[in-house]
Amino acid sequence: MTCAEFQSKVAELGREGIADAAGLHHAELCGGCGALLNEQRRLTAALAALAGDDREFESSAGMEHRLLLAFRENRAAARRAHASAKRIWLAVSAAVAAGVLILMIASEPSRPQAEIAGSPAPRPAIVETPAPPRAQPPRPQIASVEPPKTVVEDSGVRRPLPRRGAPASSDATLASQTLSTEFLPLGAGYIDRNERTQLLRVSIPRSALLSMGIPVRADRMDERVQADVLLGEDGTARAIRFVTTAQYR
Amino acid sequence: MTLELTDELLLRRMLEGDETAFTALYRRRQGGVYRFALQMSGSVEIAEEITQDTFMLLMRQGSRFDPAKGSVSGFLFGIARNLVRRHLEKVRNESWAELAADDPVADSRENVLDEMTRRETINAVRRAVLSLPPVYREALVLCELQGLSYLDAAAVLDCPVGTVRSRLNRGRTLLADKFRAPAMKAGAVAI
Repeated sequence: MTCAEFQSKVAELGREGIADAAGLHHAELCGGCGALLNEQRRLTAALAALAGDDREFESSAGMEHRLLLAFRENRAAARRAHASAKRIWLAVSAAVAAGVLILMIASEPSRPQAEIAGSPAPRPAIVETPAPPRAQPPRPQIASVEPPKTVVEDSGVRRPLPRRGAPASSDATLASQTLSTEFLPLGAGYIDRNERTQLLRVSIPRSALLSMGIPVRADRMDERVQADVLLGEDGTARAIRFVTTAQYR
Repeated sequence: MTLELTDELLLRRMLEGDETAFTALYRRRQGGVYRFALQMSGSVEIAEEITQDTFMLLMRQGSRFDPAKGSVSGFLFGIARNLVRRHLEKVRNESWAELAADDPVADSRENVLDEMTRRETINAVRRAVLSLPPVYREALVLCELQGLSYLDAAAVLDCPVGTVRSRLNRGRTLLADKFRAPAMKAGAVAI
């Protein structure tokens, strides 16, 4: 090994203590290269002493607290940004949905009123609803509605208010599954022909009928009755009929 | 027996908003980052500032961590290194003396002399390290003082392992040259 070869690797020899037999042999024979190796070994020891001396140095105790506050602030800001993005997304989605709905309605061909009245309504969905319809004066047979338990949905159909004594609902789907009374007008009992109505299927306790002035047998007070309530555009009950559905039994 | 979570898992949880994970990762890695900044800058204030900024950046940019490119520790050193470079362009270091002045002094005369000698050596190494060009200094600090492997240092410095090795050797040679002069002076006094 030449001095040049030795000097090219002396730092690693001094740093890692590599057992390079040829290198060590050269260092023993060459005084200058031997001194270089010793120098590198001393340097390694000095650097180790420095590293050891610094080992206990750490950042100040207050830094952790400051960073934690920053972390919480970052997290809160991220939440706010997320909520904001969600609101924007919902608004855009709602706008798109409304646009699509408007287009669909606009493109739907108008049908004769008779056909509309005769068309089957969708099957009622069952949901909780709190909206109490108007109270009714006492009636001899059956009643109006109260804070109900179950409900229906937008029939989407424009229909005139059924008159007392008229046949029960012409809704084919319901008729096939339910036995119902006639629609009994509630309140003023007037519905505009062009008014958009909703049919609500509700289940109410018989005891609730008392508050509408309808007589109820004391021994059946705990039972529930089912009814379809026809709601006007303003949400008030316009008519009611009582139903018996196999599904509910 | 408690299972110690890896840095990667702590980072992932931290990014999901887990404050405990952030605290654990900070406590585990702040010392190394602080010492690296201190050894690179020679300033306690700068080291403090860089450590804080490093973890602030980790909060905001932690999702950029790529395990394929190195460890979380290396990622932190990489952030700290960039911050140190910016500071080195602006600020001169001046606080090794104050660090040395804070050290406790031993009791007996022998201990005092030994401690003084040791302290002098360490301070001489500090000064010598700080006087190195940054490109050699960072390789030396990472490999010699922080104990990183060539591979990890290469990830931090964003260069090939061979480059790290050659920078380290060159840094050590320069350091040895700086050391040689005081040694010769001491020898002259002894004679």
